[in-house]
Amino acid sequence: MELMLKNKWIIFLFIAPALLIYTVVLFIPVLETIVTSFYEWNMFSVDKKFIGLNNFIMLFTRDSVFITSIKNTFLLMLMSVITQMPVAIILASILSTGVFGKKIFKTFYFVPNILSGAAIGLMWYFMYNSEFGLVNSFLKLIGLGSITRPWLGDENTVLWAIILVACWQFVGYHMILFLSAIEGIPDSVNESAIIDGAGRWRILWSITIPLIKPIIYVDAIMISTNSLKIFDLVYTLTAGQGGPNHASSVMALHMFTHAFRNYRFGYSSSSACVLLISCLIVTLLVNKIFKSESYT
Amino acid sequence: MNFKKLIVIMTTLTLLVATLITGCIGVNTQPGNDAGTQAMGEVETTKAPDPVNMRVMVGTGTTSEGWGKTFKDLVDQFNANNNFNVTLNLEPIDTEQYATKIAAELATNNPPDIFYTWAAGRLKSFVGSGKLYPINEILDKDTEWKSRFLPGMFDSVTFDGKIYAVPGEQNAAALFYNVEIFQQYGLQPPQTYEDLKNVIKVLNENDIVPIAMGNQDPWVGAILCEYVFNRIGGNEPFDNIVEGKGTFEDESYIEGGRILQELVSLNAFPKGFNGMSYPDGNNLFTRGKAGMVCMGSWIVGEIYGKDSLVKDKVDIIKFPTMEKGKGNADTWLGQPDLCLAISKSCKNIDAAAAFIKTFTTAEAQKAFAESTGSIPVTVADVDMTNCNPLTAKLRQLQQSRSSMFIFYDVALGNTIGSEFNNTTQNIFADKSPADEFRKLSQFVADNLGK
Amino acid sequence: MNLNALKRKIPFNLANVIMYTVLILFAAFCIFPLLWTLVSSLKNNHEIFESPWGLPAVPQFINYWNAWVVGNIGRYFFNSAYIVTTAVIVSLIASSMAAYAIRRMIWKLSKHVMMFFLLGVMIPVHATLIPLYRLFNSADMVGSPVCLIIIYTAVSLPMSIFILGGFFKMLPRELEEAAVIDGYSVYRIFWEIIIPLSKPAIATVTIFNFIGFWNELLFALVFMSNVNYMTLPVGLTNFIGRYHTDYTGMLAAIMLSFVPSLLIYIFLHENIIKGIMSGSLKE
Repeated sequence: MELMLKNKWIIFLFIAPALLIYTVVLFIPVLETIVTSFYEWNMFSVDKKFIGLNNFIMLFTRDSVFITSIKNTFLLMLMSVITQMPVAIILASILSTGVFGKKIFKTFYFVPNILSGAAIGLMWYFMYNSEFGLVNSFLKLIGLGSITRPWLGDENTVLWAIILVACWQFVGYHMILFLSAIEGIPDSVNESAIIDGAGRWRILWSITIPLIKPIIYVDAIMISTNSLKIFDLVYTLTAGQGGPNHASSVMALHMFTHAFRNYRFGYSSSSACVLLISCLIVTLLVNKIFKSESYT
Repeated sequence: MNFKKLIVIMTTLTLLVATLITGCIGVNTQPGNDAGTQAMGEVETTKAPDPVNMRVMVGTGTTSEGWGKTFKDLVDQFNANNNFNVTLNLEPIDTEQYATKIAAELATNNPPDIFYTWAAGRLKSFVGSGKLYPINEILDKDTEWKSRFLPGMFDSVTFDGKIYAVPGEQNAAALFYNVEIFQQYGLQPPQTYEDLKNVIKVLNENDIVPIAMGNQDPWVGAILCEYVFNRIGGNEPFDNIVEGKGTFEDESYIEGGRILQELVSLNAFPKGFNGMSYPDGNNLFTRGKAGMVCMGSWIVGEIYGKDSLVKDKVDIIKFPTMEKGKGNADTWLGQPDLCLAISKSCKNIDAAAAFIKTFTTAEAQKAFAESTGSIPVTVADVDMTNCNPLTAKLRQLQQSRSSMFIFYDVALGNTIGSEFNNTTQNIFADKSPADEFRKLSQFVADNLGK
Repeated sequence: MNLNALKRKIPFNLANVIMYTVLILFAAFCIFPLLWTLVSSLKNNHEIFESPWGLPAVPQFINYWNAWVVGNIGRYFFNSAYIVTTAVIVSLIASSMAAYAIRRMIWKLSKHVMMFFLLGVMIPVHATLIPLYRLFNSADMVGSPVCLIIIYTAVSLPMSIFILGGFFKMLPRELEEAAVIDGYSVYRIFWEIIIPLSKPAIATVTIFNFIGFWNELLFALVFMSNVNYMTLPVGLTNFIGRYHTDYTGMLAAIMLSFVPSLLIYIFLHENIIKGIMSGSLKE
């Protein structure tokens, strides 16, 4: 068997298609972007000006929007991990225990992820409206009328309003992933645990979670990189502006704005590089946390 | 097979059949030619030997009504009547993402043959690519065409003495007000700022939103701001800034900031306006919930649109003046719009120019005026008989125009322009004008020329 | 079923009451926007702003007709279906093969190649827009559906390989050992054993990819300006005029475009069920 699994030709055959498409279409353009970040280039003209690290220096010293964006992006990532992962795992484990109406619940939880960005943006715009938005109406209903405000129009609350929508949109996504993993655990394992007198939480904590560790690792990477790269949601909820006074701007939005609105491609490439490096750092961190078992 | 699976399969089959039918009816591609049949915005005529296909790219969004439709009609007309053996393929792009799309196009070596562009600062970056054809070469030879235009029309599309785009229409911002509401409360249209404050007070007492404004995208509110600054300081401060020798810390801006905050404290704008979307704000006016709106002439299209409740109830006035201000009522804020540029790689430059020329015929100008309330760019009098009264009134008010300045974010280019818009949004949010303009000046210094 | 039978099935204790309340509340929270979109798509443009939470005075079913015919949604449906389905299939084949090679085969560089693909997960796609546009433009492929298919596939590969790899890793080694003893070749092991056992993973990845591609806007907009090949999300933007938006038409179109994604999910999520693994080990 060993010999067969080491067969170089077969290995090559299996990886070749993916490797080719990925390298040409994704990897090389990214290298181009990295190179561009050292130039001043408005993307139309043939001539670019090499300016070394100037873009990066500008980013960190003269661009307050960028600093805000970095802060916001990491905050968003942190909140996403803290809220979405545990909720997703718990939901998935509850649903896998044969709850009545399981299929309906599963579908409902996943619906936010199926809706297109345009629909989500429009709907939540109305939800957060200061006059007749449901959020404020609900708050007034439970007696918290004093804290109502235009959530998307106030620079202190706009980021949190967006974080809420992000969590709402993606919990279902992670839940599906965990559900797939949990469903793969043989019944016999759970049965013997119950026989041994373990309660639901004990089973979840000591048995289920360790068994699906590979998927938790995958999901941790997905959640952190996806939330670091978040763009569509912020764009539609803030009309492409990043919130009043750029209060909820994120790195991907900053990059987009400078590339496709200000037409400063070199500068936006350097913004993209910082985003790439952030993702890299976070991925390495996650790898370190899961170090005990090798997953890469 | 259980019930649920059955439903799913039936629905899928129905959808599949429906799309296949529509798909097949729609598909009628000719080999070696990307043009299809009469799909939206696409035109093809079967002509004599191999017509040359040229791409026309515009940010019209839908072509079934308004600006987009008028544009499409012109394309169709040209395709049917031209002698160049050229077929124009119209590519209408969503307005919002047009900036993205045209950037991608211009980054390649064969951008669209003809394409829409803004004027001034934004056009400047396109010109910097070296891919735009200097149209003055044709205009200078075709003096008949050039003389059709009002004086000064080419000012903001000329760089280094060369003209790079041809404007098809102008729009101008004004104060629109609901006549019915004004009459109901015995109000006169405001001529001065004091008048305006009074109108605001009365409207508030009667639960009418004084000035409709959805400022989530801050260019909306910036229009009113730019007028305020102009009425206080006249044309000079902004002209200086555009030329690179002025500053945003000029007195007129600081004072203007104070006025804007005064307006906010008088509840001139809807509640939560800084987070209200642009359509939402406009709807307040077209539903008769607001007394006034300060907006570009394109809102005429919405006022006469099918969902409007205020058709024929609206009138226009020039923006009020400030006491002791240097600006007068006959200075207008607007821009030359629907500018079309030709790319150097265009397959038939003469044909392209001929097409653009059709925009300045009396009929075309009238069509644009009717569909969008825009102001003609031509000297010759456009027959306004069938136009809606607002367009006619606007045209009439413009007769006494003494000068015009362009929307800041177009004049200054997007980087600085949108930062200006943000500054005004911050001022509306009660930040100190002095601080905000100082920050803006610093931003300008850091980013000018990039 | 009567109430007693229901009570027997679900023990009526405090823990369960709390659990079901939480589940139901959260479900309502999740489904609400869909209901809102549905109700709003039946209003006229005024009612959307005047009474966003109320019911339409008169349900405007004509909105759907307008969207399908005038808005040409039918055509875009067809385009989206073709492009997305192809991309999903290609991506699935390429990524499952790559994931298998990396996770189940034995070679020195496997971890490095995985890391290489992992880098793709970190890439913000907008950064690749311009370089890609120039690339496809010089190959004269812009405007062809093929280029979107390639791009969508490429973008989904890192995540798909990563997720599938995670699942493959969970499978026991005994599978291959048993198969080899029975004389299976690698190809057979892959197609006849691994793939069927990975149905939950494959279903998951298919769902994610389908929905991601189906809703993707920016690349479709930039690469497909020919109206004959536009995809649904791009078609949706046709309801947005230069200074005026037809919200009702757009909402109706959104509902229409929502249906296939939902169908795919319903079709496939049945595969994310228990029991597939438990059977295999006993054999």
